[in-house]
Amino acid sequence: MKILKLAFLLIAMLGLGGCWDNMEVEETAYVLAVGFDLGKNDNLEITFQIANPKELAGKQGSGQSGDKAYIFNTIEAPLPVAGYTLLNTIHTRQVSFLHTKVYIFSEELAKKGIQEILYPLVMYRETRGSSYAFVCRGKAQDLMNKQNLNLESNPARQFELLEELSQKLGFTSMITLAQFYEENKNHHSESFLPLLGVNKEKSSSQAGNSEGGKGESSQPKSSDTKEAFSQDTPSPEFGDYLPGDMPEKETNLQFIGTAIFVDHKMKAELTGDETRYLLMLQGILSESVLVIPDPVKPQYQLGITLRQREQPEWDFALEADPLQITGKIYLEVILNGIASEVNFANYAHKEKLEKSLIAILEKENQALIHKAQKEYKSDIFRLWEKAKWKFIDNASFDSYQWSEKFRQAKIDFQIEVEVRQTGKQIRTK
Amino acid sequence: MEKLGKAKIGLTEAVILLAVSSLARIFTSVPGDLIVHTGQAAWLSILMGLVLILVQIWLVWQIMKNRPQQNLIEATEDIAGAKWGTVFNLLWLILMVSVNLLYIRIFSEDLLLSAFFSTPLTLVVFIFILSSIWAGFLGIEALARGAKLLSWLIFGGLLLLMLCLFPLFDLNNLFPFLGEGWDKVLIWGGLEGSVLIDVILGAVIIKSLAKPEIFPKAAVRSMLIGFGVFILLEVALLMVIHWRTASEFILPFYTLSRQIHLGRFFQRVESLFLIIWLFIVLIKAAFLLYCSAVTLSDTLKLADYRPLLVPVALITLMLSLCPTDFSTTIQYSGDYLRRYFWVIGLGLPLTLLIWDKLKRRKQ
Repeated sequence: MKILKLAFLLIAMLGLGGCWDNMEVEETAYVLAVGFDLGKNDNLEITFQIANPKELAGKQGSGQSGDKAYIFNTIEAPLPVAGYTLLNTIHTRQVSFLHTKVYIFSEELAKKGIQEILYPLVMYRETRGSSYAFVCRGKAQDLMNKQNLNLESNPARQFELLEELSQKLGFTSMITLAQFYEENKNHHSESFLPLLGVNKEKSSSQAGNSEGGKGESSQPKSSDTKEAFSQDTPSPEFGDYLPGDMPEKETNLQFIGTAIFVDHKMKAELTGDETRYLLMLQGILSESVLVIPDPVKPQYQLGITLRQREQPEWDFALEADPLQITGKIYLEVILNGIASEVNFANYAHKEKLEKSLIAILEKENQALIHKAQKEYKSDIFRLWEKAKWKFIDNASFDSYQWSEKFRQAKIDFQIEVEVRQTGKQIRTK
Repeated sequence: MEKLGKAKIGLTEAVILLAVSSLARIFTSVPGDLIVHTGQAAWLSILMGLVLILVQIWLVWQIMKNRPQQNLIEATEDIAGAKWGTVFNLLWLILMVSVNLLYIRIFSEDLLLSAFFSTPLTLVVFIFILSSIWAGFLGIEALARGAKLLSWLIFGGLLLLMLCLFPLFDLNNLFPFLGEGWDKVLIWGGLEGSVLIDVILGAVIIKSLAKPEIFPKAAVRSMLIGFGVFILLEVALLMVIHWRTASEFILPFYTLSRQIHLGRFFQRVESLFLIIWLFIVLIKAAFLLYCSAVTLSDTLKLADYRPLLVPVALITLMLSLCPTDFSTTIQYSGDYLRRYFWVIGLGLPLTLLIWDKLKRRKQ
């Protein structure tokens, strides 16, 4: 009996290595990034960035190598899965998407609507919901081929680092494929994707493709709307760029701004600054740097770091006509660049700074709210998520017709700012 | 291998065995089906279901409490007589085999979908059946002790899963509170998520408990644990994935585990979830096979259940391969078995109780 048991265990162990589903690393081609462009006859042009593990390891280590660390292939196919299959007619290794970290959609495709790609993509068994999704200005294949990995040898690592960085900048917000899919499926929600672009002044291929890229680079994008709110309050335009528009001497990939999707189609682009205010109103702004005029000596600039102290509080008068929304936004400020040498530890100066900052932020936020109500005609701030707490069930919320009510809504909010730290110096003389 | 009639399991083992067995449904279409019918109030409907299962436990205990020497199968025959008793016991048997064959088929298809894409279905089903036969031969004591031993890993793993998901929680997803409406929460909570086979299985192995009196305690505690963990997991699922999307996935909890990424280092934890899943499924399949064999042996008045393990397992194996595809299996499980299970799960104990009361009054 003991021999039988032992024999059974030994035979069972044979199966541990896997029979039908084993995948050897040296027999697999790992796709790290996938880009989607609009092809001919309504087909997709799918670009794959495949890792060459041997070369990649060499690059991360000694750096002595001859072959390329990545292979790029572009295939025309009607669906992602068709492109995946055709890719295997080029490479002898089995193509795997288990480690794909990034999916990039071209601006042109995003404007046409990407739900027909998104749904099969999410359904595919190897797709990971935790992969990041982006919209790129211009063509995805151009961006991927030109992707300038200055500090990172691995694009997967570059995008992972970007997630951490985006929380410190507030110019973009990383969205996973699962989040984007979920927002697309939600009846009340608008979806967002971060924007990518290559510095246009050096990138010839992008010049003809991007709408925002016709000789208008380095122009602030959102100042017209803001002027309508307050002529006296200055606008900080330090991050008012779309990716690719930021003046830069080298050709680099730029991560700034947000693409807004309404009814599955890309409807608008928000600049870095506007993204900051979008995140602030949504209550998910971790940290962001702002440069404003010094309230005591306006000829100087003042660098500050903004943080969301706590979640914004929103209240809704649902019975009122039009709908009345009141909110409170809590921020804290760390001073990190006082050019004027004004002592902001002084109570009077601190108060002046707080008032000035509140005026600037109110103006910026009001401008974005106005855009959302009149231009985008959609609740990009996801206020409906807070409003639905007041409804008992889905039927009552659906019958309220939030989207229509939001467009007419009267939105008032207060901003509370607290100067928490004055940088390394408590006073300057 | 246990000696027949000598196996005794304590309160803790019984609680864990029944709780783990009841948790197996999180790997079926139950969590998704509840969301389809009730929306974001799916967790609330499970809570409503807990009330019904307590009624089921009360009914079964009312039948069993006056028969300390009998299990449910013997008690059924004692109450309903040889003819109707056999009919009712065969009903229990059909129910157990049906639940087992659908569970095994669903779990196998789930495994193919998530991990073993190219492996033949028959092989996976066969491995499940083979493991169940082996566990069945070892007996209920080994099964209960095994469940107790693995419970640390199972409950610890599920707790870890929830902790890892914490940064992704969004409380807004749970509102409006009543989801698709209170009527659906009540109805679907009762029909889809409440009356379980596990209380019946507990009554089948009642003679293996250290004392029969611990049955109600074991049943109530195990269901509180099983339902509690299920509610927590469903709440976690709904807070991470919006209900409209969560209802789309065949394996919502596996999908949930694939979303975890804590920094650059802690990713791809679904492999841990897969191990927990296998442990729970193997315990469930083996427990169902054991109880099916015991039910048949008691109905046929055989002294030993073990010669029946292989025939019952083979019938289960053959029947589990009958549904043509995964969608049909899910349809059989959701539209027929689970929807009408309460008719037998609640109706049969109620019938037996009334029969018993009338019989006692006549005597």
